Amino acid sequence: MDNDLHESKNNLLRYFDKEMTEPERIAFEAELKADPALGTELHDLEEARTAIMLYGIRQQVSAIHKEKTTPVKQAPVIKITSYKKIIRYSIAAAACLVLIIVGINRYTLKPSADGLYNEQYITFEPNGTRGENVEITPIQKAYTQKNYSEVINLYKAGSAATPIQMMMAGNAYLQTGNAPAAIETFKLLLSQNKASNTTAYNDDGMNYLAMAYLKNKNYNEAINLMEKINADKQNIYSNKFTDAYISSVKKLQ
Amino acid sequence: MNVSRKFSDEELINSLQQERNSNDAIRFMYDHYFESLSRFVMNNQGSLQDAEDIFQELVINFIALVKLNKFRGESSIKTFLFSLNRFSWLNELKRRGRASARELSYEKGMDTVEKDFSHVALQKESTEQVYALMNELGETCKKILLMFYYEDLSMKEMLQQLNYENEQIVRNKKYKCLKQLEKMISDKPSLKQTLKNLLNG
Repeated sequence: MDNDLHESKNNLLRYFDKEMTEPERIAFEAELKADPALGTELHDLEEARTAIMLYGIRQQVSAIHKEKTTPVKQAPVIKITSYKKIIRYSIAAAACLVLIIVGINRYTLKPSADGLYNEQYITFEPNGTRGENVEITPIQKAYTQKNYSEVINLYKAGSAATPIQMMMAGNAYLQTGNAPAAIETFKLLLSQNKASNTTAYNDDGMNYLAMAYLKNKNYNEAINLMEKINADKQNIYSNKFTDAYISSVKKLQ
Repeated sequence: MNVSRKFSDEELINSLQQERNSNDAIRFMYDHYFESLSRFVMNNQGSLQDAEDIFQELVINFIALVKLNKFRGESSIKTFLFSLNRFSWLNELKRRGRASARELSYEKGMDTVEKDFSHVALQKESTEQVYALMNELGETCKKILLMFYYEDLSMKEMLQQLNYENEQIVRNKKYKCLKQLEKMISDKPSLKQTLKNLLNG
């Protein structure tokens, strides 16, 4: 009896460690099916292995995380002679002067529309593509593959677009440099939402419409919308359009 | 200059799943996804430190899902990570009691990626609990178990790095350590449930 028990445990471990031959494995799996207690023991071992795996992953990621995010160490302090002090202070003064000039330029020179657009444009990411019961629509597939012309074709070919499809189409227009069409698409999304009293992708639609206005150099419309988003603390993009950013857009006018 | 290796989605999954040394794959994730994902956190009440912490947990979660064959690749890795990032940050905001009505209503409309993931998503507390548990095991046990079950070393390779007389002693020691860990997990029902969810989710 003890020997059988010992053999059974030994087999369980050999199976768990993938050390069995093919015939042994098949025989043991039949044994597992017939013995629920043995199955429970196997699950316990699998949980332990999962804990080991998580620990290993965390250690590995942690080391790389430090490598990628640790700030540059400060240089050691070196005693400075008075001669070196003069040079160092001169360099510091020159650096301050450069910073003042850069600062003045920043407030007097016009920022570029493309620069401001690139600063705040984040590629729209459609969701809802995982899970057995979810079908990836052709438009979503094309969008994920960055086949923007196909996204536009599919959007135009469809009779009625869903909010997410309009979001993808609008962004596809932006990606292909057709800002006027992007504006129309986002406006359509927002007007449909208003008409049907729904809010699907409403905040996203407002955000990308503001970006499309900026891209199309419709500065007044862009500023009005950005201010509206900024004022609405319930809007998820509220913090995105800061006063400083809107001021920069105003300088484009 | 340290130029990181480039990976397609498929190569990245294969590397994380099969390669003994997947450091290049993890570096690639930092180089290619951190910036865009961190922007979301920082645009939604988070600091750079928050974004870094969330991203680290995200990478740990993602690798765990890949290693357990839970990532089915039905969406691109970028899309999947974006959803995970949003899900994790929303959870963190909720934990801090700073989620706005808009964010909470967004939760109701979570897409399938996030709903699917919410069953298996590990909270930072869970990985910290695992970390503490493994440290309780002691250095020798931890080393042996990691070598065999994480680094995938053979008994022969392990013997070369450990101070034991023969492979059988290493094998026995590994068994004892594994049983000890199993017992420690059984003593912590919430952790056991988390691991069970991760395996069955």
